[in-house]
Amino acid sequence: MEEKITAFLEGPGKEITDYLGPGGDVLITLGDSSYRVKMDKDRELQVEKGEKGNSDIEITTEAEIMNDLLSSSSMEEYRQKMASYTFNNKKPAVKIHMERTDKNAARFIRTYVYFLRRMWLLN
Amino acid sequence: MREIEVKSAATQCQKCVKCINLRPDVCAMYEEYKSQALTPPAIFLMADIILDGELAPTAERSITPFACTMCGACANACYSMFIHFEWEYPTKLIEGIRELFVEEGAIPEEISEVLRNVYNTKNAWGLPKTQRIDWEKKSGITIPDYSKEQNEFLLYVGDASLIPETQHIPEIITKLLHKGGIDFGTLKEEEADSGNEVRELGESGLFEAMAEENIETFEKLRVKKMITVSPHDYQAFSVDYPALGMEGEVFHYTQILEDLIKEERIILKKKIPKTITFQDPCHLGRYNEIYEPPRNILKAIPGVKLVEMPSNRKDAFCCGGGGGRIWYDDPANYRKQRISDIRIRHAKEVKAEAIATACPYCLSMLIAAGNLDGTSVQDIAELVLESSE
Amino acid sequence: MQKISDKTEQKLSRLAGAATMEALRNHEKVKISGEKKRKILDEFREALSPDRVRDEPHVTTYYRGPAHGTPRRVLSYVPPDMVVYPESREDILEIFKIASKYKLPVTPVGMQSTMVGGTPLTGGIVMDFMGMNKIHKIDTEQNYVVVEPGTTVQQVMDIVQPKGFAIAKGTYPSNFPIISTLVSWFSQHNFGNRMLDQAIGLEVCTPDGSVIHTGSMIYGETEHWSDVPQSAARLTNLFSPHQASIGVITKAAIRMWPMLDKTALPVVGFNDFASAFRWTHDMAKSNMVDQTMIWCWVHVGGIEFQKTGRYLDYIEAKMKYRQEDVPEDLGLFNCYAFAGMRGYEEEIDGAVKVAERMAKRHGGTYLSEEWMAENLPNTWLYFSALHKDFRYDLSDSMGLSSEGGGFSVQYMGDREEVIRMYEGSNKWFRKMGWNNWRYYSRMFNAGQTPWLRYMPNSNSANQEEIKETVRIAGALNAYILENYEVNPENAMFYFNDPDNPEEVRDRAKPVRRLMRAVQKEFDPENILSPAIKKYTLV
Repeated sequence: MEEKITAFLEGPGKEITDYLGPGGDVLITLGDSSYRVKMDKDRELQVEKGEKGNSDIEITTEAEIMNDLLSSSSMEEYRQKMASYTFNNKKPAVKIHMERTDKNAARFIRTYVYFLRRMWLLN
Repeated sequence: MREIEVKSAATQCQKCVKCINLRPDVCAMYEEYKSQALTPPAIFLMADIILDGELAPTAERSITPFACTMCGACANACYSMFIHFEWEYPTKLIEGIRELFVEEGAIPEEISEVLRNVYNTKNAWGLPKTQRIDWEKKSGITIPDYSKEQNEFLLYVGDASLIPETQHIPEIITKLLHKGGIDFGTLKEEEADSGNEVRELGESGLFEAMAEENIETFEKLRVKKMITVSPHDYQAFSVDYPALGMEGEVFHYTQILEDLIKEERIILKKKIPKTITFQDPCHLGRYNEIYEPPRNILKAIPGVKLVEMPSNRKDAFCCGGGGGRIWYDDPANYRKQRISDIRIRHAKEVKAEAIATACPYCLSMLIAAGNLDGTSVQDIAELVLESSE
Repeated sequence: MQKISDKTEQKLSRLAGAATMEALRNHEKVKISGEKKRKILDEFREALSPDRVRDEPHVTTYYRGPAHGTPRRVLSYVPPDMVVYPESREDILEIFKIASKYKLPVTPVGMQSTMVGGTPLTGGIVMDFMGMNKIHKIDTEQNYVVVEPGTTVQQVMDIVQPKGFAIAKGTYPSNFPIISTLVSWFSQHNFGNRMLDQAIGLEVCTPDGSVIHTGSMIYGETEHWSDVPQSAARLTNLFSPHQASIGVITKAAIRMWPMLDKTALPVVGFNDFASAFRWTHDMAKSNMVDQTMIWCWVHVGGIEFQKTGRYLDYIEAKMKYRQEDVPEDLGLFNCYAFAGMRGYEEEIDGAVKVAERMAKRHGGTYLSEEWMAENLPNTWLYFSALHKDFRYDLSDSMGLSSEGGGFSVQYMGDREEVIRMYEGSNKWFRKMGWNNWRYYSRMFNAGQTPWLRYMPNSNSANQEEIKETVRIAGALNAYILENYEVNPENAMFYFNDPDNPEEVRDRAKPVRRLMRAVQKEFDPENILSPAIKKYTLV
């Protein structure tokens, strides 16, 4: 799954990745497994197995749904799929684990807002 | 800044123009030219058009971002964009926009020359490094060499030693520090530019290289505490350098003088019966929220009546020297009034006989104003020395 | 996804007005040779003054069109060849004379806020009238003020507010010029429920050198401006500066509203849009109400929690709750309706009681000023600053979130039809993949004109997102027009657009004929915003 996530985010989903700010720390949870997507300050993407907790934001969904989304060959296809899941009440859930401080709100805007928009999770 | 970040932020501008109209005299560049084409929204629009690939940056178009004094008053006045994108300092977005021009080599010749000078001579004026200690030679004082004595404080002199109108300031500050029993030394002619202006001019690569070199020097010399003369250097050393690994405490000299006066290590005995106002330097005040130490100093001088200009502290109006403007006079060639003249007018409005400054750029710009007519401009250190003798 | 009808499918990629946009983009651009340009510049400098005529690239770049990200990306503009800065009516007439002589297009601009009006689509000359900003008269007995095209809302408010008056304004910044924002639009005004327009008389200069007065000023002699029809023709509305295609308004008499004893802004929380809409409709029917609005929870949340830690709660809720849900985690109602009132103490006290009674009737929860100030302080500050205290200086841009501007589409019709449209649109948005969006609604003209505006957010910095939003707005527009009997009120709904229903284009033909005849008479060289003229109503 790490390879699949990386392949998508560096391939058809590159524009999503472009909007993930340095310091970005996202956990993708599929059932019992979690995967950490991080963007370091030199804008190198790292995807590895992760553990629940400790990330800034967590995206949770069924493995089947994530597999389907990641197999999109273009952002247009990805968006169509996400639209369909949204319509059918199967949109991935997103939790923000960041502490609710004013500074974090500003950091969130710079790091995650446009990333989540491009993922069609926030609209 | 990444282009995506510049674009996302720049498009947030709603053109409400609070940045020029929230109060009288907010944006220095706008007051200078009274032109919609030279305003913060104009800078953001220019960036947006360039990042969309519709226009290429050119030296002529670079007038728009480089006419800005980087004072940050716009960020302070903004109800929209700036409140959502908090950066380390107010004008980071404009800096990011300038980078677009620098990357293409599309910058005004005056700015190009400054960057070449810094690269070649480690100072923006292109002067030989020996000129950094000219003031010392003239003063007849022997200032400790920090590299040999590793004093408690490193006094970072900066551009004050190179600008003719401000060369007396390091001499005065060193006299006061000595009076107050402060153990300090300087780097003499080995002092290199902090790079603050280089960064503000959009040359982030050169800035980082300079900063790394300076940090290496400070580490080698085990600098733990630093006093700066210029708020611009204070900004670099206290905000940007720590992000690159520098450790240690940084003070502006007014903070030290304030303490020395409080602790009576400098005694202010001579009266200076003047009505004085204080020019908040943008990089000390708005950028770093240091407003009171200079005022406390002035209030402590017997005879001084402190009055406040209409735009002060967080709302202070710029002297016109920041953002590279000290080297780049009247970029668009159709100015309506000098920025410094506006500030002198503010001082006159409150019937100030003198303006006290705490920044060599402020001092240099205000002294050159065209409408002084008897209003004097002095560094705070001058007043302290006068009162202490 | 649900299959969309073939007819709608055809329109899926186009927003009504998109054909116009494309045509405008491709409109012929003026080319002025170096020698000719120098000659023209010299003539302008002689007529105005050298410092009020500019052609430097860094200046002309600024005047290539609206500064806002989304409109800027829908159309790409060309910079003008030169920018001139008139300061008087005589300056404007001189500019027209020279421009007509050389057949150069002229585009008048203020703060360049509008989508199409004020964009030099063809190059040529931009006329920036922000320097023409005198206030000629303030009449506190007859309640009006006479201003110039560059006079801003805040400029007037600073003078009239201490005297107990306000002028109307919408949610745009108060540093925008009054004329281009007020005189053209009937919507977005906090006194909009009471009056169709705020201008009671105009002075207009046309390219052929005519100076036209409307209202009582046609009769000359006194400086008393009022909305008196000229031989039964109410010509003030003819000169809409939004399209700026017949003449330039050089003076306007603008209505002022006296504050009298008291203002109030009762707010009611509703769990559904339909109930809120019916409440605002009932409130608007009464003479005691200046305006009514509804703001959805998405918009209120953005205002309330911005720049605080709870903004993260808000974003989380946005991703979780749908438009029609009540976001319990945020403690918000589904929507908030309010009614602006201004008058004598006895009537206002009574009017607030009526608002409470109506709230009960429609199942809403009346929220007192004290409750709002305590529980939704930022929202209350925004609502009350703009709609109750008319403190425009406080309200500018406060309602904007970090998520960027997007497109908006707005519709008006029978109350129940608009409610059906809202409910149908919810389902439609969901099919398009949207969870929620911003909307607000108003009741114009004492309840005659129920109106709803949708604003799907997009990152206006991202071309792809904008294209997507334009596509969605176009498809939404097509869906709505196909399924509901409502009228669109849309800046880009040009009556000459081939994508519009034929019936609409046919009905507009006589009006277009009339307008073109007027334009031809007063602008024989076709210099004033020629591209706009070709494709719009005027």
